[in-house]
Amino acid sequence: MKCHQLIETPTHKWVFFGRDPEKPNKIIDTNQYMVITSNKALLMDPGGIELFAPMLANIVKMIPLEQLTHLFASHQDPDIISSLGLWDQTLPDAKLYSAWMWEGFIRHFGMDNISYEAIPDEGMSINLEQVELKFIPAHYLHSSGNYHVYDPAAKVLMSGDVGAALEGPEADIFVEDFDAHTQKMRFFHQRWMPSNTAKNDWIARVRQLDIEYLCPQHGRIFQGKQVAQFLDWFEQLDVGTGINRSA
Amino acid sequence: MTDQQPQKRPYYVIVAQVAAELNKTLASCRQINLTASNAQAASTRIGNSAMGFKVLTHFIDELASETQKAARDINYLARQASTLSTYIARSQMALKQFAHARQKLGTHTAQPAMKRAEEQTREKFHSQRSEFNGMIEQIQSNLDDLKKTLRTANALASVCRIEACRVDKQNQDTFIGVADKVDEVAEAIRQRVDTAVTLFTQTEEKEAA
Repeated sequence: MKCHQLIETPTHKWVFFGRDPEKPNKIIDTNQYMVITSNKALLMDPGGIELFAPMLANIVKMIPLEQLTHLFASHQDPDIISSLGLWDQTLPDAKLYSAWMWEGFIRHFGMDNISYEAIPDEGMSINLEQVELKFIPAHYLHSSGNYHVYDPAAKVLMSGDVGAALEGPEADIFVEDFDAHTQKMRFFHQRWMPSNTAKNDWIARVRQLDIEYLCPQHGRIFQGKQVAQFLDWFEQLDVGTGINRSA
Repeated sequence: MTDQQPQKRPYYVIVAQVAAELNKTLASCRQINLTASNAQAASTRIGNSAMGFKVLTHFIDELASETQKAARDINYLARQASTLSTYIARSQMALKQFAHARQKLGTHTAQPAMKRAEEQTREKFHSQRSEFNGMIEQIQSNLDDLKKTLRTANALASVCRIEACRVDKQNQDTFIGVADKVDEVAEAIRQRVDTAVTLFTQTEEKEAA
């Protein structure tokens, strides 16, 4: 599994994990992200149960496990959080932040020790020591209770399934040729994202944010000007096409 | 890491921590390689009086490569064992659920298909555990071998110091520096290996797995 430090500020750093070459073939490749401060860490979308062991191995190389105090699940899907039953045995004192509406569903993955911190519809902020992280609403993109993580100091937006592309584990971490990359994103966004209204509302809010890195949960990371390019591309894309396709 | 309480952790965590400890030794091995290269260059520059030392640098280089290979092999085994241990945890969870289902059945007889599934899971669980215990024994034995290899480092450092006496005062410091570096890095690696061994021995492996 690749492990790449995305950005380091005086107070914290962002780390990317993904592209596990030992991942079973038929499971979708996922990106995991971790924010590390001096004594705490937040792991975002920890991944499926098949990914637990490589994630654990990489995390203990970086920080003592006691430092991993916070988990975040952008939504309830198995590729996001089906490893929860094992994290629950590993980090009994951790907090899991996710949508209020998914608590009863996510607990099906097994959760006896970790405490569930429900995020309200309008989102919320937390402080990881002196670092403020905002859970911003991204409902219906694609899940009906969905959030992204924005870090104003590092200018990073962890954008969940928005910006995702379907590629193999050999793909690079960063987008190189934006136009070529849109071909790998189009079907995913059209089929998985159900609502143009939700999409446009999200784009309007995200355009107000200062973003240097847009980090999806699948595919590649957008940097600098590519962020605006992505928002423009996403805006003109008609989504929720599943009904038309099957008609 | 020494402040942690490994005996309270699931075994897949312990094995992952061992892999992480050994991963750090790889950087130390590269330091020994570099030291050996520098020493070799210095020996060539000095000429005949440093011939004995030049031979030693080959041994230092060899020692670093052996240590690096051993650390890589153990690291690989530890990662495999950690993955296997998560499968064991999953089989264990399934067995718990089967037991729970049987309890719910009460006086009713379990269906043959359910009995078969439970039996297969139990067999899988035992075979996974047996494979896991084999891996752990292998890791422990490799860690012991690595510790023996590291003892050679101290012997090499001592011989380096003796050879340093053969060259003029001006170059002695370079060679003594090499000996000190070999000692220092070997000690750092030994501490990591000891931490790895302690992580294992403080844990009741069969209980935790």
